[in-house]
Amino acid sequence: MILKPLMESVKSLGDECFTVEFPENRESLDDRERYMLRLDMDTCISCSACERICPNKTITMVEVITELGTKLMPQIGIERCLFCGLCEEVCPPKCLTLTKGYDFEAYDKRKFIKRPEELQG
Amino acid sequence: MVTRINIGPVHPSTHGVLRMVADIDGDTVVNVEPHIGFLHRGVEKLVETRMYMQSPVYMEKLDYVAPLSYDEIYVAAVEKAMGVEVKERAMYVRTILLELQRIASHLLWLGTMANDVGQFFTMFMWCFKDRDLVLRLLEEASGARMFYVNMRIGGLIRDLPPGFDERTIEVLGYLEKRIKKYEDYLEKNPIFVDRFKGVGVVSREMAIELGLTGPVLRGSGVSYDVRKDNPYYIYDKLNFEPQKRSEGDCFARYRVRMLEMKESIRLVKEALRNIPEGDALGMQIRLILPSAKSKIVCVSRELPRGECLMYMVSDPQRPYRLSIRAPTFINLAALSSIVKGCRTADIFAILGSLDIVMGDVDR
Amino acid sequence: MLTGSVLVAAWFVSNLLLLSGTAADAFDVFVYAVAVSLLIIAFDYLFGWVERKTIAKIQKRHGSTYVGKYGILQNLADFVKLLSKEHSVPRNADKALFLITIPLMLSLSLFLIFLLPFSPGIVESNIGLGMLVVFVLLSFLPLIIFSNGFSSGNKFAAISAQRSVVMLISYEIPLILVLASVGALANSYNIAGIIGAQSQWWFVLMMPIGFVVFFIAMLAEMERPPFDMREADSELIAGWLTDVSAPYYTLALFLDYTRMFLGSLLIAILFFGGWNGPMLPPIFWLLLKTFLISFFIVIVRATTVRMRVDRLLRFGWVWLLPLSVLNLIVTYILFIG
Repeated sequence: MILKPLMESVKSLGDECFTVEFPENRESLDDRERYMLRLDMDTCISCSACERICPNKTITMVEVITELGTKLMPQIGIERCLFCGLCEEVCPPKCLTLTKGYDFEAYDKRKFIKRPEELQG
Repeated sequence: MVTRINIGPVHPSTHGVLRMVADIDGDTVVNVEPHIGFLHRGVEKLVETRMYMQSPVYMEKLDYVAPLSYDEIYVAAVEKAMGVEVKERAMYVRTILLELQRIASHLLWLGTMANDVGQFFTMFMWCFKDRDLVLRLLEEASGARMFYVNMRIGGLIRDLPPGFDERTIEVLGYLEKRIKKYEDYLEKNPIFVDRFKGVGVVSREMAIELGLTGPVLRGSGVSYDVRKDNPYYIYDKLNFEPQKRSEGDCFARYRVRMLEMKESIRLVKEALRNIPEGDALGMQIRLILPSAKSKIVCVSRELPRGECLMYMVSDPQRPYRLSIRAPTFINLAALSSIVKGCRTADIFAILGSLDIVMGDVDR
Repeated sequence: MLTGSVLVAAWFVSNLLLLSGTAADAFDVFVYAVAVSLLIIAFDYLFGWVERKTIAKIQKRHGSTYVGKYGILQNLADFVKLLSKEHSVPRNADKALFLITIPLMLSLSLFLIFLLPFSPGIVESNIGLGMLVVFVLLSFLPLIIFSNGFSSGNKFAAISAQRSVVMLISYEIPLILVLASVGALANSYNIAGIIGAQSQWWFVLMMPIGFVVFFIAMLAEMERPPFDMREADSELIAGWLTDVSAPYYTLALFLDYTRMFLGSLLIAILFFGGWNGPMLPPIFWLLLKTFLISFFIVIVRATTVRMRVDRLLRFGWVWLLPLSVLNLIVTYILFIG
């Protein structure tokens, strides 16, 4: 009667655990995942297409001083970003990409607004 | 003596923020009134201020349990407004992903329904483990675990990765055995069967009159399934039969969903066998897309929870007005007719079998 | 702590007054009581850990691993955290009655465990009708539960207390009937006598129907799933533990495992031969059997679904009661007549 479900429970005592003890052990991810953003500052042409396509108005263009002068580059607020990948698709020189790293913790919310220099990781 | 009890917006059931005001006489329910709107985000208005392909991200967050289906119905409406045909291989791939999403959504339903009735999280954990395997497959195909945004106009963002076939067939074989085990686990438990049989009966005429769709309707004996009566993509090429039961109680709805899961597994295997060569890439996102010819379009799809209609009045670059007929909204409105005369503890069994997601109700 | 002192005073006083005659006996009784209390505390602590890990393994996850080597200090961490919280009583509650009922329940359960012997040599009270005394005192529990729910000032707690009292009362009758058949089979109600009568065959083999009825009825008495409508009292009604403040909540958690220890001990004594077993000391066998039965109760918790209240009462009256009468008749015909 109710013995079959009970036997099922007892049998599953022997199976191995499915959960992973984070943060000591981590799962490995695919390479084409859409997590943390990465900007290649040398190839950015300041077209601000990413600013215009972002649905959530997360990207603003700020001035960055490089050795060739001042350039406008995207500053991204990670706490507003939806990780949809539209900015990666619309970028003409393909300098803004989404990588598979997912470690971004901070104690202060203002640290989540990443300037272009911090996005180089 | 009739007491009024407030089953507040915060409660240990996992459906979301739903407030119910119940009038209870002893142990029998006289009336239940759901109060909704806690999760209203104004998506229909928000979409009016964004361009066409900026919106799929917002549409996915409506039904956060099966997001791919809302993504697909919106992009299908945009394609119809622009007059673009979907490529052949892309149709097959979309069908495969949609059926996988249906399996994942029904697995979550099974876990939360067992949890509502009192089963102490065991079924919940097992179903989430299996759902995780399906989500990994979808992650390989699209790039994210939950909010996919991988439908583009005319196709997909990228094709299926190599080796997808073998991994999918392996996962589906494992899932078949697990579903058989879950059926045994629940149906051989006489307390569970006792809790669901004969509870919350919806007759055939009442179901049609209340406007229910999806597995709720098919559990009452009406054989209406959009995939059969109004077929889209390749459903007319696959031999597909809608599953139905005729008793109309919670147990019948549970059986319909279990049979649907098995049917989806069969459909995915068949589609993977017959998939043609070609490319499945859609139109790439640009800042200015080709203009939509300004007209009114209406698209209907079979979501895991019911039938969804998307009605769009289109401007050249953005929708002028978008109206969504959400299936769970109508299903939840039928709650007050179904619970008359039940016991207090039956309210949760009935809610579990109606399969409510509050993001879809409130939009 | 107020609660601790009430608790300790209650069980010592009840012990010393009722059981002992002379001053020397009183001291022995005191030592025995302290020893058994330590055993129960150790059991509750360790069994809480076992329950968490077992349910986690059934659900294919790890359980508590962080605090201590295998998560074994988790209960201690919870205990310390709960004791450091604020103690408050709701305004509508009847303060004296509300504060005394949970310690009273705990002391009643502990007192019942004191009456049961753990080994043939260590018998604190060799009362002639030992088992009957245990069950008579066990039936005081619904009264205390009802007064707890009634005095809390919360209408939902009162409703759930009423339901639980109805359930406990209707599930006691099959319990007593099966006890009658055990007593008839063993020819005495003395606990040592019952265990002695099982030296050849355990009673579970001689009356399997009686064992099943007793097990289900004891699950209802211990208020473990699937009969736990008071604690996890669903989804809708808040349950009796909402207005209880943190130090008393600790006692309530303690009470859950103590009642389970009592129930498993009773099942082990009445049906599984108590302390009979080869070679090793008798107390070891008794504790082993108790532990295995409690383990089985934990697996039942992980598997079953909660019953609806009216179905539960119907099950008790329509199925368990006739089965226990049938068991009594069959036992008389087969073994005594």
